[in-house]
Parts: sequence; structure tokens; C-alpha cells
Amino acid sequence: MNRRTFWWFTIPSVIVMLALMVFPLITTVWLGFQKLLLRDLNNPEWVGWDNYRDVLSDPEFWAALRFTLVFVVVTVPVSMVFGLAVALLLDRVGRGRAIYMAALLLPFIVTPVVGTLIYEDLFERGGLISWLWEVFTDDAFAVSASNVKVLIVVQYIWYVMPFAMITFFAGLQTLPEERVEAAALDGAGFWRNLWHVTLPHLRLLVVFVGLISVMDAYRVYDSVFVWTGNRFTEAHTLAVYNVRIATAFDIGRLGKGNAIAVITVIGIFVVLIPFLWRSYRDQIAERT
Amino acid sequence: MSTVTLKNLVKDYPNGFRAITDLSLHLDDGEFLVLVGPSGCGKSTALRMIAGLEDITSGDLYVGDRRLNDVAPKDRDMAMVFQNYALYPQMTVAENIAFPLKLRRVPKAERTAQVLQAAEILELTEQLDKKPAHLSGGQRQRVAMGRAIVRHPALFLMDEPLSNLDAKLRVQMRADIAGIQRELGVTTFYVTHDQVEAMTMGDRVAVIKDGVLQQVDTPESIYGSPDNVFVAAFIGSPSMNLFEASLTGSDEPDGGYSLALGDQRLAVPAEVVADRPSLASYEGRPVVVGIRPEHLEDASVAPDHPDDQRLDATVDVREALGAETLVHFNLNAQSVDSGDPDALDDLRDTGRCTARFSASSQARVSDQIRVNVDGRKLHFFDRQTHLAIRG
Repeated sequence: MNRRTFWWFTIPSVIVMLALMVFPLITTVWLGFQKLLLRDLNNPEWVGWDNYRDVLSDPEFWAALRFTLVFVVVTVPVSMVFGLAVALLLDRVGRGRAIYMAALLLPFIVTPVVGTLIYEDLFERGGLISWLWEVFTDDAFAVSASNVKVLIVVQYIWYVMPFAMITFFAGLQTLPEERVEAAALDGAGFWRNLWHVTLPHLRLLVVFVGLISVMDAYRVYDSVFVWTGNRFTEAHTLAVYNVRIATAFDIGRLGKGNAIAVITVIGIFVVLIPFLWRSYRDQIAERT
Repeated sequence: MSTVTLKNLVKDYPNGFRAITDLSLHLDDGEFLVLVGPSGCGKSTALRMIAGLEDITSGDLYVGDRRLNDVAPKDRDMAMVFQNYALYPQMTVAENIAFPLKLRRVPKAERTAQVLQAAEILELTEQLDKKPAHLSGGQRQRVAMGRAIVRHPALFLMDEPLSNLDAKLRVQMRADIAGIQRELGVTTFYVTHDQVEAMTMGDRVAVIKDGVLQQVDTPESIYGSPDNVFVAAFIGSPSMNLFEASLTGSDEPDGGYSLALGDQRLAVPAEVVADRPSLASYEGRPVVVGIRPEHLEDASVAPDHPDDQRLDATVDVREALGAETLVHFNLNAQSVDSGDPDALDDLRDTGRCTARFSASSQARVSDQIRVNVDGRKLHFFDRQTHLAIRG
């Protein structure tokens, strides 16, 4: 292929990437160094590292970062383990598999905001869980600063689990039956078969689901916002905190908001680097 | 003692299909038994029932005195070699072979020793650190064998282990597997659709068709005196020629019979009749007569042959194989469907006949030739039941 043909093929996607990724990223970095308020968008003022200093000294930022990390560390492994368990169960279902699968996928299909509202309703006055709570404890159940984080985490796991499930289920369909049978005759029971045959077969999917889940959980916004709104700010994740700062009341500190965005992007790279390194190493190992 | 006994094994599937009907077999300690049959005959199902990978609908399975019907596969002390090898791709060759020992918590030093010993037997010593993806088909098959032999199991189960290998390698592995089995003396149940494997490897051969056992015997007996038309046609390559013929008593003084084969007549030697007294009851009726290709010879190569045991033929196809020459011709006689679903030839009832002539035969396509028939090697079967007429 000569150079000219090469460019004709690549230029459209280069333009799209420049327009949708590189340009906004540069703008974000640039805005991070400006003092820019929502009510006065026409007068940006260069303030150097002031926004970053402001963010890094804001205890609410550190609280949001801490909760976001806890959120990632809890929801990703738990949803993956549950997803695998349900996929293994689904794999054994003979009749009516499609119905089970549709039902299991429902939380993931429903719009996150709607799903969260439905789930939240269970805990409101007259909701099923708050009613049960009252029956067994004689106390009225109330969403509070002390339990809202747990509720958010549980709801998010319920919401993302189908993603891991459907991916692992697809992977299980390509596992050669003979290999499972060979392990069974070699003396492997359920757990050893899982460890030595099933998981190695799903290894690349585990990395893939892990990667996507970490990114999703790290950037979680809608379900947390529905739960907390402008109440419980201590249960805000980075994304919610970011939007709150950038749009707060009529002030809307856009410059600071962009600085938070830059820090978030850097943060996600830090979180993902082990994954990227791991999959890079695997690919090299596979080639040799 | 690792004797294996199958008593009236039956396998019914939920859709009502009966895959195995009343299968009874007995394997002596150290015996190599080959279960052979055309595709879809239920032979793999039988093997999987022994392994515990399929439930037994009814009947009993014993190894020694122990009834295994309801024992989990991992507790049956059997090692299986699969058609597609079923190696663990993330493990090296050494780890694959050691895997069953690791699951049995064999100490590491002993494991290593066992693996090295197996690798030596299987000539895999150079490959121990490689992953299966980097091995050839034959090497993968040997790793699968290694995984089976390190366990010293009560029973080897092999499910068409050679069918993914190319022809040359298959011949070599055939001898290798049979050799290793004899060396280790482990009772072996081997399933294949390839009758050459069955003949060359087994101490005994069991022929199965549509889930029903047809005959169990030594390869020589199966070949020399098949119990029915199916076994006669299935074992041997090229297949036995089978035709309908009518048997008539002859006027000859020695009391022989004569066969009307199409529009030709063929004398049946008196000794053949003497061996089969019941043949008398078929006089004047059609029977199925069978003759193997190697019992036909070009008359010009062997002129010293009774003239009434010769047929006239016109050569249709000639295949010179070097050591011998296969000659195909047509007899104007009704062919017989042996019931082998894999054999297309049976579908054409043209009276096609195959002969294995010595290489010195000069027969060419379209030549009119005389064919010697070794009358002592004729096989007779009942036309209705397809069972051999003997005794």
C-alpha cells in the first residue's frame, strides 16, 4: 500500500479522533488553568496551578476519591464473582435458558437512573424493604449518611453483575467439553475443574471484564447522583463531586471542574496501568 | 485384578432413542479390547458409560468385583485418551502429564520422576517445557497418552485417539500405543471406526452396529469366520464381495454343490459342504455368498486351478498398488446390503466385485479375463437373517 492510499483510509478516523478526543482533552487541560465561572463564560483568566491547589486542598475531593476507590475495590470483584457464579449456573440450565437469561439481564438493560429509582423505592416509606425492616425491628427505615454508601454499592453490584455474567456465559460456550471431561477423569472435582480448566479458559475475558468494570465503576455517576442528589455529599464519587463543583448553584467553578477532570483522567491511568501491563505481558508471552 | 465386565448395558436417551442395547462384554486383566463399528453405532456412548460421562440406563458395570454404575468419574480409577487430546492449554507438557498426580496429592519429587519416566517412554523428553499449542498432532497425542499412563489406572479408555492424525503417523502411533499397552499391561478399552486399527491393535475385537453387539473374537476369527453379513463386510479392506446366489445340488459323484451366480456357475468343493452340513437345507434356495478379494486370482497367473471354480469377467477398473493389483469387475449378480452406513458401494446393486491379484497379473481395463475362485474360502449366509451358515 502506498502512502497516499494509507492516508485516504486513515484520515477519516484521525479527524474523528482529533475532534472528539484530542481537542476536548487539550481544551480541558487548558481550562484547568483558567478561572472561569458559569455565570460569566466570556472572561477566562489565567491562574496557573491555582485550581489544582484548590482541588488538592479540598477535603471533599479526598472524601470523594476515597469513596470512589472503595467503590471500585468492592463492586468490581464482587460483581465479577457473582457474574461468574450465575453464568456457571445458567450454563447448567437446560430448558427455559432464554427466559432466565432475559430476566438476569434486566437490571443491565434498564436505564441506570430508572433502575436506581426503582431500587430506591424499595427503601422509601411503604417500600418492600423498609416495610420488612419495620416488621422485624419496629423501627422505621431511613436512608441515612451511615447506610447510603452500602446501599449504593449493593445497588451498583446488582446493576452491573449481568455484564460479567453474559460475557462469562459466552466464554463458557466455547469451552471444549472434552477438556472438562478429561479433568473429571483425571480426578478434578468442581472447584479444581473451575480453577484448572474453566478459569484459564476464561482468562482473557476476566481481564477484559475487569478492565471495563474498573473504568465504569471509577466513573460512576448516575446511580450515585440519584441516591444522594445534594444530600449526603460524603457519599459522592469523583464524577458526582466533579459535576457538583462545576455546576454548583449560580457560581459553577468551571476551571476547578476541569482541573478535577484532569486529575480523574490521570487517576484512571494509575488504576489501569497494572491491567494494561498484565495484558501486554500476556500477549508477549503468547507470542514466544 | 482389573477385569472389566459389562452386563446387559442399555443406554436410552430422553428423546426415546436407544443408543446401546444389551451390551455384555468381559475384558480379562491386561487385555486390549477394540470396540469397532461405523459412525453413529453407539461405540463412543458405550465408552462414555464406562467412564461415567454418561449415565447407565440399565445393566451393570464391574471393574473387578466393584460395581461402578453410580461412582463418579474421578473415583473410577480410569484414564481416558480423547480424540481431540483434551490437553490443558495453559500448562506445559510436563504439567499436563503431572496433572492427575497433582490432583491425587502425589509428592512433587515422585511426580517429577513419573513424568520423566513417561516422557522417556513416549519420546517427549525434549518437549516437556513446551505448551501444547507448540506441538504437532502426534506429540499432543503422546502427551495425552502420558497423562493416562502416569496414573497406572485400572483401565485405559481410548476414544478414537488416532483419527486426527495423518495416515503415516497413524500407522506409527498404532504400533506405539499397542506396544506401550503391552509393556504396561493395563486393561484397555479402545474405540475406533477404523477396522485396520481394530485388527492390528486388539487382542480381541468387538464389532457393534446400531448399538447392538455383533461379534466378539480374536482379529483372526472375526476375519476368518464372521458371524453375519455386516461383520463380513465391515472387517477387511477392500470389503468382502457379497452376492445373492442360488444353491443347487450337483450331479457330481463327490456330493458337492453348485452356485448360480448371475448367469455363471461355480462349483462348491465337497469339503466345504462337509464342514457345513446345514447347507443341505438351503438346496434350491437363494443364499448370500461371500468371497474376500484376496481369494480371487487372475487365472493366467495361476493356471493350475479347477476349471469349475472359475468365473468370466471383464475388467472395469485396475488399481496397481505395487505389491498387488486390485481389479474391479462386474458379476451379473445381485449385491447384498451389509447394513454399513459408511459404505456407499452397497447402495448400488450392480454386482460389483473386487479382486486382489498378484502384481504379476497383466489384466488391463476392458480385458476379458478368467478369475480363479478359492472355493474353500467361500462364506455362506442366510438371505433373511444374514447370519453365517455353519455347522
